[in-house]
Amino acid sequence: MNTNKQENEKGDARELRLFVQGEGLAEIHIAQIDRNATVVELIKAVATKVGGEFAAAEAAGGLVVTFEDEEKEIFQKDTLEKAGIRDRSRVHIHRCRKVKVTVNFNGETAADSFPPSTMVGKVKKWADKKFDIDKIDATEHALQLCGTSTRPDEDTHIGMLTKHPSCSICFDLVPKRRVEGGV
Amino acid sequence: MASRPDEATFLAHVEAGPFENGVDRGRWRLVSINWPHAVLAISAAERADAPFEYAFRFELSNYPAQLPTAQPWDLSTNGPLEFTKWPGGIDRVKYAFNPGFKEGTCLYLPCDRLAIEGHDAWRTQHPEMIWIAASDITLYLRIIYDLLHSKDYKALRGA
Repeated sequence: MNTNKQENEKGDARELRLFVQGEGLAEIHIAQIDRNATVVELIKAVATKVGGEFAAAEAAGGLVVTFEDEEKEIFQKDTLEKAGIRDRSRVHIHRCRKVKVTVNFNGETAADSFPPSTMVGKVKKWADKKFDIDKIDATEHALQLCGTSTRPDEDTHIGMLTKHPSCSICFDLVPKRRVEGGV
Repeated sequence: MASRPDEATFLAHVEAGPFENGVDRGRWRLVSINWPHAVLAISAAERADAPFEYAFRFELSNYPAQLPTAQPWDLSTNGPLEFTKWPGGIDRVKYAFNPGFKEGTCLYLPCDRLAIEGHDAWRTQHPEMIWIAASDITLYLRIIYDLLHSKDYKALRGA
């Protein structure tokens, strides 16, 4: 078992384990970084570790760091500790300040803008309300990316699903169907 | 230290963000590994006289190139869960947790190795549940978690 992880669970480690989502990341990334590092150093550490489109976004400049489901930008010259980033904090890194979300359901469309750190589950609740789907029936529907069969997990930040400068996503609200076909 | 590539890949996946995120959210936890088996527990929505989680024993040979297969597991006896204690429902849940299918040795889901045999139509009917070589165990776990938090999940099958 990972020693750093065990130490972090005791809350006395210098190193933090952070759940990072952001532009160009394929999945939730766990960043292990010294608590005295700055927010800029966190961005660079993630870019170095994952490379690819996230690194390209970092090189292009303009990345903003926020907490999950929050819009307020974290000051990047601050240390993680000063910024309030603790062990197992959830942060989002993206160039888009807002993401335009469109949801289609039964021939109707609803649209609004959300911070990229917004969880898919929160957008789903907004869509359920817009289309008057009650709380119980809501568990029988899912958001699916338009033109695909991809249904992002409710914990996924919507910023993971779009890149700058598009900053937009289209979902269909679809029913979850039972699996059958002869037993 | 894993001695087999499939076990090494599985261990890497349970240390990675998607799995750890689920652990941190209280969605699931790793109970034990005795390769090629791993027991994982998945939380369930609160229902009267029903457990707060269900355990499943996964068979993971040649993971992730080969699909996993899983069956409900009793942690107290370290054996298959009595059919009456399986999750119950009337629609999606009843179909997925069906002890009458293959004598209760797997779940009736497109991501299950045993269940997808002879069900090629599922690839087009339920593409979101199809296991691909790039999948990791959280695909299977998320599908179960979703069922155990659905409107259709009532309580124990035998209740």
